[in-house]
Amino acid sequence: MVFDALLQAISSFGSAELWFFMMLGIIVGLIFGIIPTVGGLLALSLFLPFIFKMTPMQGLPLLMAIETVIFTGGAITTILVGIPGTAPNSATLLDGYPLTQKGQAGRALGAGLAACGFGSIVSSVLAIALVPLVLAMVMELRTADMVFLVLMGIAFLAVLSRGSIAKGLISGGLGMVISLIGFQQVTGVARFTFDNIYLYDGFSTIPVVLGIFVIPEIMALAVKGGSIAKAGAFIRGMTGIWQGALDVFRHRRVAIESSVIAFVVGIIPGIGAMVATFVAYGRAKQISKHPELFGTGVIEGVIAPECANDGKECGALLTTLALGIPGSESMVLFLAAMMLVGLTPGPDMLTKNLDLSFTLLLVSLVASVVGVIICFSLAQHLAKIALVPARILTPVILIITSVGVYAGGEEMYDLIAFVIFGGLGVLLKKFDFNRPALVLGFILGDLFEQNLFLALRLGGPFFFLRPASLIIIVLILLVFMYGPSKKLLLRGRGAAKV
Amino acid sequence: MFKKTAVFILVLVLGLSLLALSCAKEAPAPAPAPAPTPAPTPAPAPAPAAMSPAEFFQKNTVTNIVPYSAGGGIDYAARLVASFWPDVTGGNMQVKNKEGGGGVSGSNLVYEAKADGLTIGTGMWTTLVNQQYMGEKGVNFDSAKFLYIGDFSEDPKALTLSAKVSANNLDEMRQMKEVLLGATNPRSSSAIVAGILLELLGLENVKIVPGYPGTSDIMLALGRGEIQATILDTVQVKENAAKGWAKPPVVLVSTAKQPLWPDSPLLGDVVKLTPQNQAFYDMSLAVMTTKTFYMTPGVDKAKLEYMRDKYMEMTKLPGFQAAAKRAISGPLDPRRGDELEPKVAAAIKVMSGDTAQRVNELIERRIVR
Repeated sequence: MVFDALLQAISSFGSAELWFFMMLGIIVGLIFGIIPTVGGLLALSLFLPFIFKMTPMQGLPLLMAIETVIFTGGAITTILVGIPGTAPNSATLLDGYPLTQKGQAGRALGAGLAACGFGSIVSSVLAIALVPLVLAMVMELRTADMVFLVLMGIAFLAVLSRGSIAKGLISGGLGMVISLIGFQQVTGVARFTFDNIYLYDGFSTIPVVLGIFVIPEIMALAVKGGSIAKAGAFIRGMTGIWQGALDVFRHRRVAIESSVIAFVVGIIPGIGAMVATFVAYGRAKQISKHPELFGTGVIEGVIAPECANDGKECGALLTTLALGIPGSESMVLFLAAMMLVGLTPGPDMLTKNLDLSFTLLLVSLVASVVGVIICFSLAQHLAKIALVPARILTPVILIITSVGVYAGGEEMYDLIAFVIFGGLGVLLKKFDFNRPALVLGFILGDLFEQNLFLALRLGGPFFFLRPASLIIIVLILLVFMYGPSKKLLLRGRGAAKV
Repeated sequence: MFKKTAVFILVLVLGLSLLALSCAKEAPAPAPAPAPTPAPTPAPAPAPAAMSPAEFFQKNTVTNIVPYSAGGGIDYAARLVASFWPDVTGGNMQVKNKEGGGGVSGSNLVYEAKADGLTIGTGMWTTLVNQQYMGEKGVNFDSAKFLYIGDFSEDPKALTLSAKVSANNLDEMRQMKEVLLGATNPRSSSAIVAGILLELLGLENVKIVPGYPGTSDIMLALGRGEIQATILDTVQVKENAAKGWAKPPVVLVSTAKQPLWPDSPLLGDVVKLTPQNQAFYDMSLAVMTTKTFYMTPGVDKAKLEYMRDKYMEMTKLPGFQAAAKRAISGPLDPRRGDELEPKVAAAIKVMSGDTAQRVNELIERRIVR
């Protein structure tokens, strides 16, 4: 049955109608991805009304293609200009932008784009192969296990720390404290909201992430002057596009691990896209021969998050199709689109309609590859933005980012938050505190508390005495012990040689 | 010198951007107030007095505010109406998602908008009443003063069990050692109905576990067997039963038999009503899912009647009914706003005494600590 459904899905690619809507989705997704801060949610919600009048084989491939390639487009802006094209592209900023500043824009772009395609291919293959298991895996998880999955993400705070681990943990802790502002779902208490309804839901992710990352970089660029990349180094750097693409295969362990991590995170509802990218980045740093160079412009720091960005999509799609539970924020809209075209998510999507599910997975794969090819052909031209003088580029970036922050919720307070977190980002950069750790703490803090409270109420103080939870606890310990044990091993080898 | 100039320009541009964007904001930020604010005075129509409502709505775009993020049932209903609005009026309608404060931000926005008829909201009238009287933070509206255009798809609540438990009815449920009932937050409609039902039915072994981020998380927990019961709409019970996650409802919070669950008992069948518990019973019936469209208080009556007429005309369109059916398993059952008003008034009458406070106490008593 699985094989028949797969064959049927492949044969549906003979339809010109499917190709038309998929290509339309690719172009729209790339444009929305390249425009900074706009993101997938806005793109999908703009097209949702049109789905009313479409059939499933028109509307769903359109939306799937948009959702898949939006991160590919976002990688371009992130690497070249230093603004995350979408929030999950933030992890790519850490090494992608420094590579552009060093005159290696081409290599960074090549690696980022190829990583997107690689992540999508691995994720699609895993999704198709594991269809019978995914449902069982998700249904076996409990809130207790979620506590430790989130804790594993928090464990990477220490890994993300460059230089002082204490500073990294302080940043992460500050991020977690900020995440606690707002209405607490379990107790019904509003914390630190000062009776302001905006703070009732806590700070939104977009103004926090963009403020922390973008404003310090813009100010640094404005103060430094010149352009993002020096002209001579830039021209030499652009020839590295294909070198960057090959880097993905040279660092295939990083690429594969990142894609798998992202696929697993994507399957689990409630964890979130940014966790996948930052955990993949943290893992790449852990296994690197030169972890101390991460954040200064290393190619694995681009490969890992971009593999994760596309890698999580198929996992999230599978959970959405099979359970009717959205695997990500964008999948909420995808669920709505399914309703609009008359499909009911659930076990039927993995049995009676398995061919349609496979079609959507293949659309994700093909769209990603086609999107990457289009971006490769445009890369040389788009990359010239790195040569635009700072005095022109910085106000433009600032305005576009501000408009993007406001456009998300049409909320003035988002802009104020953007400025406040921008100021915080400047201070963190000046005193060498770890900004990614703050963002990761912000994303995970509330999630950890929510799941912990629930787990305690459901299972009491010994809620963790479950096989799945104990396995995850062991994995967390391995995360912490990996770095020190690697150092011990290397020291031991060094002593043995002497 | 250049560096200082650059920084100065940067700060200037940022400041100008903030200023420009702040001037673009239409509605003022709502000030928190424990009591509802008075309705705004009606604004004069922007068009010449001779323009009929039909002409007015043909020439001006209506903004339909959804107080939740895109993709949910309410958002779907808003987009459904927006897509068929041109067919019945020749005009345009755009949907804007304005989430925040559990839906309070968007509702405040509709309440405080200019009373020219060009701003409507989509939500649930039951939620508007609950938010106001159950003490939700930041409420600036008076649910009695909204002008209701109409609603459809009224769906009562049901107490349902996980497919993983052995109990199939209320009596068997009472025999269970402990039953955990999932809810989102302690003031949500599921928690309100749960608190009331557990009291009316004497289910002392049932405890409420609040804290699930959303209904889909509760449904997943039900399917996993992590919680043993919850409160869902009858349509949601059907979806979950189809997935093998939920059993037929053990009790329906309704006064009429439901076609989806003809064998499930009604609340009135299993509860002995007394003067002491009548208010709780009435309040539980008032909490149901529905898709309601409402307008800013103070809008010209002619425009309101026009809106209501066009809404009802729209619901009769075959295309509308077919599109609505894709998301709604039960009957469409559209109602005009003037049919809705007595229901809203009755619910407010129940909630505005000390009933809301007593329900809060019931819920607090049942929450797992």
